[in-house]
Amino acid sequence: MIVKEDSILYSNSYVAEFIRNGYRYYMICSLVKLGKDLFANIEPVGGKPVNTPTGNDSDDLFSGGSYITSNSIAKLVFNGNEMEFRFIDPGFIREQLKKGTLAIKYEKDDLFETDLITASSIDLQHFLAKYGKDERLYNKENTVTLKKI
Amino acid sequence: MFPCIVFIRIRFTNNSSFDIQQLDAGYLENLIKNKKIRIRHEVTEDGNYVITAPTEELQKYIVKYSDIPEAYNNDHSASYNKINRSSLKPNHNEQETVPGNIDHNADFFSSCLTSLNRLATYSTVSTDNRMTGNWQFEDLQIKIESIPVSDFYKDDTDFY
Repeated sequence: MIVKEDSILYSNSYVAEFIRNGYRYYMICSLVKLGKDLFANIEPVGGKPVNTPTGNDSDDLFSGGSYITSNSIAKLVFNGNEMEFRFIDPGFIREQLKKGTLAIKYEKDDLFETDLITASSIDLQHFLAKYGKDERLYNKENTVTLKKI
Repeated sequence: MFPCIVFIRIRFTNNSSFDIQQLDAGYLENLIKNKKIRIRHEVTEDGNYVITAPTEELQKYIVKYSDIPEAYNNDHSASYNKINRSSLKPNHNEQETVPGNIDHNADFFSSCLTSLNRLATYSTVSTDNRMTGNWQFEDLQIKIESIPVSDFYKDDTDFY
């Protein structure tokens, strides 16, 4: 359900669109400035076949089924005609959570061997304001570099 | 996207058919809201309920409420009948028109850490004009645009 606050958030956000494997994907990218750094929150909002045989095939591909929308967080760095999304390295975070050296609310999913951060938006912002400069949070494997065309 | 689990009840009606019924999320939400049940959960900032209880706790819920008809969502019920394969003949004229499987994580996001809540909120969101335009990532062309501004919202409608 979209509420007034979402409307304000989305009207200051960006939509990224691309085609992969015959599907057109849409993702919303919202930016937040924490200190001198810019961070991006990426949220998938839709995907439908490029050549839709029938209308029904494209309905609700993301929100249907056993998936919930989750958010990916990246530090955003502009460098000439390149834009880098430095996604947070889940390995580093898991290691710190295991050691107990990091305090951020999360749930462990043993079935899918993954973790879901459940901290509130304000806690996430505090976390990145404090640790966002630590380069150990990022690595090359989790960096996506876009080149302007 | 974060994978989650859906619970369904399966009842075999005979040797060649069965019915499935999905548990109703609203029923459980009401139990939680009315403090009639204690089950580990999270409420997203959008107000959606996500159950985070361990398996044992989930089983206790199922055992307690599985016989209550209101605990099931009739809109998510279906009946299945066994296919009699001998009556089926392949039709080689039929072409696959739907493309490959949708990637719920759109590939490069699959290794990312995911968060239930957004980092940006309406009061902290920032803009940067350098974002917009056409971009290339490996073999992908990505178009990024601002979302058109609207002064209107309707709070009883799904975003889609």
